[in-house]
Amino acid sequence: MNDKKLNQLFAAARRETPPVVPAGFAERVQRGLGQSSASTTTVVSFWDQLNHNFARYAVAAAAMIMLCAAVELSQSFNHDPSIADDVNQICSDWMLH
Amino acid sequence: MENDDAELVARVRAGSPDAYTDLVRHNQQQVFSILHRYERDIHLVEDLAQETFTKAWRALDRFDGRAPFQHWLSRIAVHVALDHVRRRKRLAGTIALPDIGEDSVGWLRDELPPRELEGRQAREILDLAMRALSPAEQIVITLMEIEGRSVKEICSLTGDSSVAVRVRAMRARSKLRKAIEKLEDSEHE
Repeated sequence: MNDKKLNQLFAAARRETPPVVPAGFAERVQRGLGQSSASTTTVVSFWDQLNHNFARYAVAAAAMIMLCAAVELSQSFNHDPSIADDVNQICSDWMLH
Repeated sequence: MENDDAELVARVRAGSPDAYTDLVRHNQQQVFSILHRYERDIHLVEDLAQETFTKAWRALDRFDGRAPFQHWLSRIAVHVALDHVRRRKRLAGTIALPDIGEDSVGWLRDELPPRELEGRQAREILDLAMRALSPAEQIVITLMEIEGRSVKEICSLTGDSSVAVRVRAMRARSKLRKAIEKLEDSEHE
């Protein structure tokens, strides 16, 4: 392959006719832009967010309950005052005050 | 045409989205012509053109009017083409090589006078040979040799330095020559 042949190849490629733009292309672009801007401006409500994250909140709440129960149980085995006793104490102190 | 585009850009910025449809209509042929140099499938060219105009719409605030709108849009189209060539290069292993037509094979074997090689056939050979080039080399050689753009224009379109463009063009020519020689040998077998 010499340079002359390569240049002939380029010259022939330059002669290729460009494609015809399909009818309605500009309108399709405009519609696409409308859809993308509509999708980016969608407002997500509090309830939508809550619904979306419900499973995560439920797992977090269950983990918290189990942690409290475990602490309560371990304190009752050690004969330490439990969390419930502490809360009762605080409440009664506050009421008497 | 330039004044028309500037006026349409001003109307889009003033809050008339329909003016953008006119802007697309004014420039769509040019964008299709650029993109068609890198992709033969007309459906994919349409997708790439849509991507080009979407990017232009989103970046319209950054268009400062120092260069004509057409030039600014061409730069976006060239970058969309570069991304496309990079993606295609990554998938090259999974795509089968396209068949070359008999006439193209004849030209490679020197059985066909050069004048009779059509644009489509030249593209078939070049598309196949260009797979040996990096995406950046493909863009530079196409802009220089097929679109006939100057080094200065290519620098402006790609954002590369003139030294980088010249080196890439030289390397691309050499790689293309070797790739086509290899193709000639394989066609002879």
